[in-house]
Amino acid sequence: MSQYALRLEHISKSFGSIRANRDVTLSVRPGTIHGIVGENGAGKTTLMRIAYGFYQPDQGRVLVDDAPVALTSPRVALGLGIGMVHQHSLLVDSMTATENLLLAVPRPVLAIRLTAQRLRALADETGLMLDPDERVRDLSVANRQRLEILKALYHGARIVILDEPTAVLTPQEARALFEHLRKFAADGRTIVIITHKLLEVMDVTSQVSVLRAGELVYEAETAQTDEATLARAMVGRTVSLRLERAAPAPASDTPAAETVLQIEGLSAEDDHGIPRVRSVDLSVRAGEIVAIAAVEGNGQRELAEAVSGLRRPSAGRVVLLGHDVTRATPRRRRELGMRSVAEDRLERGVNVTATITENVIAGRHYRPPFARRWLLDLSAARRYASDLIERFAIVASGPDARVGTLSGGNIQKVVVARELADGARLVVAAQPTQGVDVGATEFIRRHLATMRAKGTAILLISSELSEIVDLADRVYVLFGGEVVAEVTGSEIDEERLGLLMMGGRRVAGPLHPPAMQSVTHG
Amino acid sequence: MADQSIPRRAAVPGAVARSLRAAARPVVAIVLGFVVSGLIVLATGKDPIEAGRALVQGAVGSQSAIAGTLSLATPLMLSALAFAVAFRGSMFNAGVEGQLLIGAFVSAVVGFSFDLPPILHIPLMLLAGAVGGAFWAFLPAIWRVSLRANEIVTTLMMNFIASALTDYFVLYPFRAAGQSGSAIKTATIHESAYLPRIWPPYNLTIALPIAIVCCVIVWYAFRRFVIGYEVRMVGTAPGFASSSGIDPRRRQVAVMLISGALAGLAGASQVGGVFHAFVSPFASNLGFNGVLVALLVGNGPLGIPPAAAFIAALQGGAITMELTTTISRYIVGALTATIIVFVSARRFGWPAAILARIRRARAQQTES
Repeated sequence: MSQYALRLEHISKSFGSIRANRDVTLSVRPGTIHGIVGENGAGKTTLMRIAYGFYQPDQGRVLVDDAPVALTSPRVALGLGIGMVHQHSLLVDSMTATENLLLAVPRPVLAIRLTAQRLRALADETGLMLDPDERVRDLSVANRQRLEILKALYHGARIVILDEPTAVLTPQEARALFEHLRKFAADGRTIVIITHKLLEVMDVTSQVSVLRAGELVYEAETAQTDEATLARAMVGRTVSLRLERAAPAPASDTPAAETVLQIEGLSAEDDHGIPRVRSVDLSVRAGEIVAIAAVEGNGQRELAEAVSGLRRPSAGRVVLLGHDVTRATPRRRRELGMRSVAEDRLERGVNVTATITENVIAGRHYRPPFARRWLLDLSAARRYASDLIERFAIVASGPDARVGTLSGGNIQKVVVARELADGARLVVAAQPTQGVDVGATEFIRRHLATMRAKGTAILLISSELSEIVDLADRVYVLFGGEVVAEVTGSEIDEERLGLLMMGGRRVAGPLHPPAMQSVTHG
Repeated sequence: MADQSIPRRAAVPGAVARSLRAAARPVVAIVLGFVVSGLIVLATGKDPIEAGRALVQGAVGSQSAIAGTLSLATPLMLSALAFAVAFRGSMFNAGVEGQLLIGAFVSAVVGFSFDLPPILHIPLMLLAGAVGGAFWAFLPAIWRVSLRANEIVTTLMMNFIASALTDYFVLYPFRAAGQSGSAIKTATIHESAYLPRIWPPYNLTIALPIAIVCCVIVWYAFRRFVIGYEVRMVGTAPGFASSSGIDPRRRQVAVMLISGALAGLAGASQVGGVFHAFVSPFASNLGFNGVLVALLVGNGPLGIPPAAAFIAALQGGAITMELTTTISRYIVGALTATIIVFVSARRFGWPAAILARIRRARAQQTES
């Protein structure tokens, strides 16, 4: 038997100025389940895309069964026995399971019945039960994933890479998946699993590798490590923009500070009808920054959308300054003083085809001074835009510049200028600095801090832990759509949050994910 | 009112350059269309120059030809504007034809049922046409926003219903007495509802200035009205619009109502100005040709009147060309289609790219 089923040697890969992987060497022994963990943007997915032939490394080489190989495409990789199961299924909805299987390797004659028989036999053999004639759109999410795994196995994969396989599964489905993965490993197949969730790593893997900022920083036998060690390795000593933390605004210390946003028992589903937010209670007071810390896909997006009126909750209430706005339109919420920085900047935050003027008046365009009855006052709008360009130091040729011509940081400044320039009572800021350059990031964070000092309530949703630590007065940790912890004041640190976000248990006492636990000042 | 701040003045040359660039595309497409059609005529062994001369003669060669062209252009402007308004608000109104038929029929009923002073009767008849068309567009719009029924399919199907329904009405309940033959009409509308002529003795009515004014109003509304701004935002960035408190569904319904009303107005203008009754079959293809006009100018309201006049000139000229030469008028269909193909080319860079390649090749030759 070969020493390593899969070995990546000294892999480096850059995209423009971003170095996604730096000299990473990873060895996966046959018949094992190997976990790869790391924060968002640590380079996990890039590394695995190199391993299944989607990307070619700038430097380094890939060995399969100890022999160097040139993985020029995913098909070549599959020919060598490497199959990938993507986080978001890449199946054709309107086709049956069998037809999707045939799609992967086109042949002149489609032996549909034979393929269906073989698929059924493979399903029986592996225990991944699935009806080959069912259309993908009628399959549950878990069954789509089964089909993806079966697809890889059908095409002869001996090494199966799974990218965050449990992100879309319920805990029960995840347990069933892990049973199957263990069985595959026992049968001599090799499994590589990418995840953020430390519990899963501890549960299912035999080896674990930690990536941080593109580099391999830690490797261990799972039995010889623990969650806290892994969390520290993942977060590391992060270099980040540190804001001089002002003394907490006096308003937030007195219990009398007005509650601006109150969320009670809020539940919401994503576009596919999968419950993403489960009975969340939280509140934000005036002059307070409350952060939601969560790994991507744990319901924070749906929560932000439900609060800003873009997603109808399936249960619960949203109360803004004493008004029940659960079913109110975004316009009504704006009129009550809510502003939101949308996560999906180019889709929701701005209109790239419109001018800066047209972008900054959106949401207040129908009221004076920008409108008199049904006529817009374009010169007032342009003056306002010029003023914002100056105040927010937006680099643009003028108020008539199209937003699509601006740099990413300046686009986000347009969003921030529009949402935060006037008297907001509540700001819902979702990933306000994601993908924004350093200067703009600092500017945006400072602006949020200034607004807090002036008494604005801010709900900050961020996957950037340093941002939360720098800014937040209080943090709710969201895991699997539920609030699993509330952390305040000096208890807010990256390691603790990181562990809680990944459903970890061993920090701050016994914490069981479904149960709510409060960590407060000692 | 006049704002003298620097940004505004700086914006003007940009706007001029933009509209020049917008006009360049259809002009280039028209020239290329003529070249290709000329080659087709040449291939059939006929003289393209002669064809062109006859075409121009028939389109604008006499006062009567000009009046005819403009009269033909009038409903085209309105139907093109109907399509363009919907398109700018992210709705594809493939049902202009049906809305036009319903508008025409309703206006005819108002035209022959009442006997009022012209000052009341004419506006009432035009309004009735607009309401009829708007109603016919409202149904697909509401289906779209409440049932997510694709409006392209529903508006298209509504055309057939409109056509069959008006045929039925004109054949049975509303058939004028003592008629036979292929063209069946309702009773003639009262003279008080005839649209006044603006260039006697030619049949060119106040519908033309009304259509042009509609184009200008829509153009202005898109720039300056709150609803125009909202429709543009919905049309170009629906996610941004809804985040900003502009409900895309409401604007989509509004835009379809306006679109249907303009289509209905086109129908009413034909009834009040040309046929003075609802005729079955009604002058058809106005809806389809309206789409062509709108496409030609990229759905810009100010480009619509000249573009409609151009398409109308081609159609008017084609008939003269067929009468005076041996060239079939169907070549004009090929010409129109070719122009649309060229104008639809998303990247008009290719002529420039070819020129650049030739220039590079020349430069290399001179170097070596």
